Amino acid sequence: MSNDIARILSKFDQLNEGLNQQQTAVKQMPALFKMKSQGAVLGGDLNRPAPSKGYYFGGEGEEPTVNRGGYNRLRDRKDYLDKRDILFRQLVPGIDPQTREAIKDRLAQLEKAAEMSGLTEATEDNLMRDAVLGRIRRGRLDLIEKYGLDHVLSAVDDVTDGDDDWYEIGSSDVSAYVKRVEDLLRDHYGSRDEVVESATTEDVISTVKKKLGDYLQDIATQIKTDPDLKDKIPQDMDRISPVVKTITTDDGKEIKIHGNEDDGFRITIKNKALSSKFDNLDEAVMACEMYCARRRNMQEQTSNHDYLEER
Amino acid sequence: MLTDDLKTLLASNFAYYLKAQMFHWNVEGPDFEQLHKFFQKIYEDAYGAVDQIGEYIRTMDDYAPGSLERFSELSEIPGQTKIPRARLMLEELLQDTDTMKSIVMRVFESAQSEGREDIANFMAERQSSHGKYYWQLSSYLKDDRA
Repeated sequence: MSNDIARILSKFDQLNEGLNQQQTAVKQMPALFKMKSQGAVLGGDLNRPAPSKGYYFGGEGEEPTVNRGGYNRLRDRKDYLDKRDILFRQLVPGIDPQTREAIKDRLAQLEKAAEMSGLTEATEDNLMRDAVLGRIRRGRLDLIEKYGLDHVLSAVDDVTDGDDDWYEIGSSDVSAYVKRVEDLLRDHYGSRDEVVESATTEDVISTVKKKLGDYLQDIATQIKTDPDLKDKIPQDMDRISPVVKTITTDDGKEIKIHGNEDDGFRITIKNKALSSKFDNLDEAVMACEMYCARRRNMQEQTSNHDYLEER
Repeated sequence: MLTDDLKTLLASNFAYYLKAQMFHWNVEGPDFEQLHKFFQKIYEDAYGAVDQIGEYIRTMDDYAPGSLERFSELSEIPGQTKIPRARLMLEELLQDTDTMKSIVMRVFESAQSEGREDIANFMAERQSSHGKYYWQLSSYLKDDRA
């Protein structure tokens, strides 16, 4: 119950003045009216007219301004078209065959269900456009996969624009129009083989590489910048990358070379890593050998004081 | 030939001067001050003769070499890339001074044979200098007389 003063005053008016013109314009059921049951029991009259017939609600009375059946059909058709659209848009260049087949299966199921519900009946004014679209949907999904749904629809519109006075459409007519659509797409967006080939070799690979590289770069950046992660970086180089070569100095120290061709090579002595990074293993080995040679020379010098190295 | 001998002398004299100066810079030990000054005398004396030798070559109507590369080719005094200890510096300079005496003698004889008394006289002076330093270097090395 609302305590809104306007409502309260309105009720006072009703009490004082009765129902207004609007309220008396239609027949209304009493507020406490109880609908009688129409259940199908033995002896029940199923043809009894609806008790609320002629009243404002529940009755047949005036024709509704909205065709509920038509509305539902439009809604269902929109649903079907949206779902179909989503599936078509998943057909992109470079898609793997397994996924493509799965999408085709789902499209076929959707079409079948829509056909049974009468949702696939042509509603277009341009019959040829509809026929071409139907042919593409059923047999030329490769065009959608290669050029994308929007481009295909646009090309179909261009080809069939104004061509709507067909009395009877034959299969060969539709084939010719589909060919024109394909030619138009090829002229605008390149040949199918080139695009498909590059998409399956260069673009896909480069995309994969770029994505993988970006992913790894993000991880590396995160490790470097996140203060919590920085502390958790293992100090033992063996756990970061395996040892590829070990060089032993004259006095028994082990110099280890870690890494690989992609990440570069690092040198550790007694689990302490040098800051230098080498592009290839040969350079790392050379650096180790030079270090060993220098140590050897210095030891010789310290044992022989007659001649010292000037450099 | 006299000019060839003079060129050899020029290059060798330059290498001798350079070594003596290097020892002057790098000598170490308890005799540092003495040896530092002694080596200075040797290299100043050797350097003083470089220009004269070069001009004598020009008086022979020949060109005087003036690059480290050519001096390396002509010199009979070996270079020293390491830093010997003091005694070894003395021993090495002693040996080089003896080599210089031989080269000077060769030039002297060539000059005399070609009638260049001025060059021969100059070589006599150089012989005297190198002889003096030879004596002083060898005296430094006589430990049993210390």
